[in-house]
Amino acid sequence: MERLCERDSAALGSIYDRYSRMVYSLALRIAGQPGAAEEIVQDVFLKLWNSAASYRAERGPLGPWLCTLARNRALDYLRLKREKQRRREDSMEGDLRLSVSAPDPETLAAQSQRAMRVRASLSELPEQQQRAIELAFFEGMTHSEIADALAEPLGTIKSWIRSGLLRLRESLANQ
Amino acid sequence: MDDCKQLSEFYDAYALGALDGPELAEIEAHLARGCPNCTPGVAEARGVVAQLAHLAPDAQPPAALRARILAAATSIAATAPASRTSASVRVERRASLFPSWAWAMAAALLLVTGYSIHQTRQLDRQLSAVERDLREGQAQRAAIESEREHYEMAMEILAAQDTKSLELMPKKAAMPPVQAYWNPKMGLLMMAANMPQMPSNMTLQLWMVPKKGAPMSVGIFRPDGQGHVMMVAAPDAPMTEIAALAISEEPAGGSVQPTSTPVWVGPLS
Repeated sequence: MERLCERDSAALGSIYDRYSRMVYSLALRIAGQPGAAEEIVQDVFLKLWNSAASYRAERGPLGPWLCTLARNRALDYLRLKREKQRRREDSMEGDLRLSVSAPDPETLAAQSQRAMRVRASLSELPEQQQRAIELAFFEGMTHSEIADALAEPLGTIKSWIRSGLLRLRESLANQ
Repeated sequence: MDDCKQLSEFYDAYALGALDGPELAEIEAHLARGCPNCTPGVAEARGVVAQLAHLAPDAQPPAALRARILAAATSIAATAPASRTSASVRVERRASLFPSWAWAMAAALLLVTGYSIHQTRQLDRQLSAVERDLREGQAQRAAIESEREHYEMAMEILAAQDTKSLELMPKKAAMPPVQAYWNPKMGLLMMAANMPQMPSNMTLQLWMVPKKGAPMSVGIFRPDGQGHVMMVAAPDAPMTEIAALAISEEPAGGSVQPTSTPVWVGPLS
């Protein structure tokens, strides 16, 4: 991260090589258009490039931060709500100092293993429960919107999402 | 409900963006007060929720994108300083102490030099155009280099002795077979020719079908204008756990699980 602060483009290249595939996959899944996904990826990595100097290396992995940023950008693209985008970016700035750090030494194999764990933990859920979490994450729907979309009671949707994310937490904690 | 312990139940849903109504208003108002318990709690929840990104079907960004981003970053670095140094802050503080006559002199100086600036700007515009051409050239070279690495990786997979080859046979008449080469250390290469063109709202998606459990996406792809396909991917699962590879037609952007019957299937026997 120090090299990034010193405007070393090779450092940005290394981070891009490690995370671009995950960020692009996520942006493409949400935006649905390769052109838009490319713009989102560019936006995310240039945001990192421009923000690197505003914080110092702290604890926590870089990957989740990049994914959160990419998801927010992609959902903003999907919704075309500029006001909401500004609010999210404001909240992201605060998290940057808390959770972003230099790339951790995690290997590609470990990333793959984590991906398998995430998929495995959620694939055990009933199909409708998986769908509720996907609608929230990939479509940016709220509890009420998901309840309408799936024609299920609001309380059921809240319970599904809560228990699904608890399962995800347990799965990640057991790594 | 304005209590950290109660609010902690909503961290995950808030990080997911699923909260609405009074619960959303409550937690946002609480966070706005800078709660030392809930602020890091929500940040941690964002990290957990971000892991759901792994559910997205794997897709390879275009090779040229890397070069484009690095060229843009280099351009930004050339025109803006990396950070506000303590020296620059000191200069700003001292500037506020300047007396008014100093500002008047500075304004006069600006008027005198105005004409020179106009001429200099014209030269700057010409220089910027030359620099832009240079950057585009560098970006193209980087894209070609990335493409070359892609092909080299494919050649290495093909040449390796421990690479396993398999053929994915089409389920529809008049469709060509798809060749796949999987090396446990280097990854998976998939190639085909004479593939059908896909409508813009559809894509092809390669799946690993495990011996046990649901199919796992390897990546999405589209044939080029001549019907050629070549994809190199790093599968998430060991080859020994996979029973077959399959390709299905999916909506643009891919699917988390197949939504149609696979058009090509190849057992990994």
